[in-house]
Amino acid sequence: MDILQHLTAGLSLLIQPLPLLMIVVGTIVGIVVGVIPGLTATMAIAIAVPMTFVMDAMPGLALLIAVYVGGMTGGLVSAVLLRIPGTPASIATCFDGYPMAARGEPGRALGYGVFASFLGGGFSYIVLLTMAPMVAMQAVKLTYFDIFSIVMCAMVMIADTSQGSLLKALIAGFVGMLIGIVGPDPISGVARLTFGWSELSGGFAESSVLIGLFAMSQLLVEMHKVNARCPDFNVNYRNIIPKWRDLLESWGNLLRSSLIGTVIGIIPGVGASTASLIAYNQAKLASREPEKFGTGVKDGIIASEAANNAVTGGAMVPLLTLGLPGCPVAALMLSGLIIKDLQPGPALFSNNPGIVYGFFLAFILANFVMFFMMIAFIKPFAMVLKVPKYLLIPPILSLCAFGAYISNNRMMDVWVLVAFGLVAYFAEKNGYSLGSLVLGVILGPIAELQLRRGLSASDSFLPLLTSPISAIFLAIALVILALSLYHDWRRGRPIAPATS
Amino acid sequence: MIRIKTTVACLLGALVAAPSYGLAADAYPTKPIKLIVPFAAGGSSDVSARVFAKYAEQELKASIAVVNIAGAAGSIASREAAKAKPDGYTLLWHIPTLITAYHTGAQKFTWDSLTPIANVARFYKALVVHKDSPWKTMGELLKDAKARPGQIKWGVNIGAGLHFEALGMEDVTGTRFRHVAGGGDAEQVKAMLGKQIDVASPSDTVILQYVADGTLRALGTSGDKRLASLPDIPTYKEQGVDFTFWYDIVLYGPSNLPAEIVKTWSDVARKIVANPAAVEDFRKLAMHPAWLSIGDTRELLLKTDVDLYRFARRGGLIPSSLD
Repeated sequence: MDILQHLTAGLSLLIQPLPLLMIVVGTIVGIVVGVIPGLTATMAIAIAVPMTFVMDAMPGLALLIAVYVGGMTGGLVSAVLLRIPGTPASIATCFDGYPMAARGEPGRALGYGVFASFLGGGFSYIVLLTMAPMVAMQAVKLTYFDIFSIVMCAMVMIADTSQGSLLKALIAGFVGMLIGIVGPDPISGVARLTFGWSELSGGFAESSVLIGLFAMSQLLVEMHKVNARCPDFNVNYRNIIPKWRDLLESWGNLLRSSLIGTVIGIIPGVGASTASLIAYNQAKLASREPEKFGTGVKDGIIASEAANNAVTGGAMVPLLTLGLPGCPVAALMLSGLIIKDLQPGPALFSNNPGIVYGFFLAFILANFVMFFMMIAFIKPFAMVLKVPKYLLIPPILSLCAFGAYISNNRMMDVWVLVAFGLVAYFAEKNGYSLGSLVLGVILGPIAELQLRRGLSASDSFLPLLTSPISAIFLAIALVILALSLYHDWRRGRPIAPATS
Repeated sequence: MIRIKTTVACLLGALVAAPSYGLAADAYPTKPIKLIVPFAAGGSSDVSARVFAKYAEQELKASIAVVNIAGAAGSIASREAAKAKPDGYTLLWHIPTLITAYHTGAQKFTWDSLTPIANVARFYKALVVHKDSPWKTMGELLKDAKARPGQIKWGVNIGAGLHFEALGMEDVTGTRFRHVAGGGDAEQVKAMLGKQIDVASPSDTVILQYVADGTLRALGTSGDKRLASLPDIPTYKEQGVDFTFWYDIVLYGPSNLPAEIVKTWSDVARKIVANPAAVEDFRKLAMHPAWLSIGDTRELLLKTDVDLYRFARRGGLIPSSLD
C-alpha cells in the first residue's frame, strides 16, 4: 500500500538520533515558553526558524513541531495554577482550572488538562494524517462571505459565555471591536482612529492586548492578596491521572471540542484562543449542569485544552496540502520548509512523501513526548503555588512586558499591555465580561476583513444569503442568539443591569 | 524573540570586538548591526533578510541581528530606520511598499527619507488564471477585459505591489479589471483555487506546482526575460504588452548615512549576489539576484517612484485635484 510505504519512509527519516533529540529539546522549550506568561510558542518558533537553516529538513521540522506542540500545552499550567493563561490559547482553561486548583486539587486540574491536550492534539493529527488533502480542498471553497458568517457565528457562541447582564456583555464586545479597528485599515493600510498619533498607526498589538487583559490584570488582583496562604494540597500520580470513568463520561465533550479545534485551525486567522473559548461555551451549553461551569468542573478544562491542541493539527492542513499558511506559526514553518527547497502543496505529497509523512509522524511523536513530560512535570509545577506571591508577581510581570516588546520591538506594545491590564482590572470589578471584550478584539477585525474582501468581489451583500454555507452559519448564529435570549428570559437574567 | 538574538549578539559582539577597540577607529563595524525588516517573522521579506544577513555576517565578520518591526504597511519600521543614528549600525531591508504606501496615503514619507544603498534582488510575478477559465493566452484575457470593463476579477493587495501591478497593466493596455482585495501571494492562490478571483499575479515560486499539475494556467511573466522557473511561459513583452513589473528588494540606511559606509555595504551586497551559495538560497525564495550600484539604485528608485505615481493617479488613488 502506498500510505504504508510513505509512513515507513517518514518513520525512517524521523527515527534518527538528531530528529529525536530535536523533538525532546523542542518539547521542553515549548513547554517552558508555554508556561511563562508573555512568551509564546510563536516567539520560540520565530527564534528557532533561522537555526533550522543550518540543519537537515527533518530535524529542523521536528524542532519547530515539538516547540509548537509543547507550547500549546504548557499554557495550561499557569492558567490552572495562577489564573494567568501561559499563552492566549489557554484563556478558557483559567475559568475552571483555577477554581479546581484553588480548592486544593491542582493535580487533578492539571491532569485533566494534560489528558485533554493529548487527546485533542491526537485527534487533529489523525485528521491531518488521513484526510488532509480532502479537507483542504473543501476549505479552499469557502468564500470570503462564508468565512465572515462563520466568524459571526463564533462571536455569538462566545458572547453567550459571559456571565452577568447581556447588555454589559454586548458593550464589552463592542468596545473590543472598537479596539480592534484602531490602526491600519485591513484593506488599504491607511491608519485610522489614531487621532493623529503616529504610535497608534500600527494599532493595538493583539498579543499585548491579550496578555494585558488576562495576565496583567490578574497580577493586579493578586497584589491585593499578596500574603494569602495557599490551601493545603497533595499532588500524586493517583490524583493526576484521571479515572477512566471520568474520561469516558466526557467522551462527547472531548470529541466535540477536538472537532471544533481542528476546524477552527483550518480556517485562516481565527486561532487557538477563539477555538478554546468556543469549545468551552459549547461544553457549557451541552452540559446538564451549565451553572457549575466556572466553579471548577472537569468539562471546562477538557473542552478548552482539547480544542486548543486540536488547532495545531488543523492549522497544518492548508499549509501542507496547499502551501498556504493560515496563522503565524504556519507562516514560520513555511519559511522553514521553503529554505530546504520543500515548497509544500500537492507536489510535495507526490515528490517527497517521506518528508510529508515524517512531518505528520513528528506531530504524533511530539504529542506523546509532551504527554509524558507534562505528567512528570506536574508535581514540580504545582510547587509554584507554594512560592509566596510577592516573589512570583515581579518576575512574571517583567516577562509579560518582555513578551509584549519582543514580537514587534516597539515600546508602545508594552504600554498597551499596561493600559489593558488596568482596563481589565476595572472592567472585571464592574461586571463586564473579558471574554466578550476579547472576542471583539480578535474576531472583529477578521469579520471586517472578510466582509470587505467579499464586497470588493461582489456588488452586494446578497452572497451572504445565497451562499449555502454562509446562510447556514448565519442561521445557526440567529438560533443561538434567540435561544440564549430565551434562556435568559426563562432564568430571569436581566437584559439590562438591575438598578440598585 | 529577535531581541534575545540581539542581546546574545551584543554580548558575543562585545567579546569579539573588545580587543580591537581603539586600535583602529575606522574599522567599521565594531559592534553588532541591526537589520530592520518591516514585516513579521516568517514572510518572504523576513526570510530573505535572514539569508542576506547570514552571508553579510561572513563578508563583514560582524554579527547582524534581524529585527522585525511589523505594522502599518511597514511604515513604523521605515520611520524607525529613517530616524536612526546614521552610523551604519541600523539598516533597513524593504520592498516597493515603501513607495506605494506613500502614494496611497498610508505613509507620510517615502524612499528619499532614507539613504538607498543597493538594489539586491528581485521578485518576479507570473500572471495566472484557473484551468477552468476561458482564457488561454494573455491576448484573449486582455481582449475580454476590454469588452467587459470592470468585470473580470483581479486579486490584488490594495495599496501594495500586487495592486500597482494591476494598475500598471491597465494603464499600459487600456483595460479595466475589478480589483478584489484578496491579500498577499498565498491568499491570492487560495482565492483562485476557490474561484473567487479570475486573475492573480503572485511570485513565480508560489504557483509553480499548480502550473505544473495543470490546476492553474500561467499566461505570462513580468520580467524582461523569461524566468528559469517557467521557461515555457512568454513574458508580457513577448506577447506585445509593453509592461514589466517586479519587486525590488533594496537595502537602505538612515538619512545622511556617510558615503564610506554606503560604499562598504554596496560592496558587501555585490559580493553576496556573486556568491553561488547565496544565489542558490535566493532561488529557493523566488529571489532573482539583481545588484545595482549606488547611483543605479537611486536612479531605479526615482523611475519606480514616477511609474508608481502614474499608476496611482490612473487608479484614482491620488485625486487629480492635487495637481
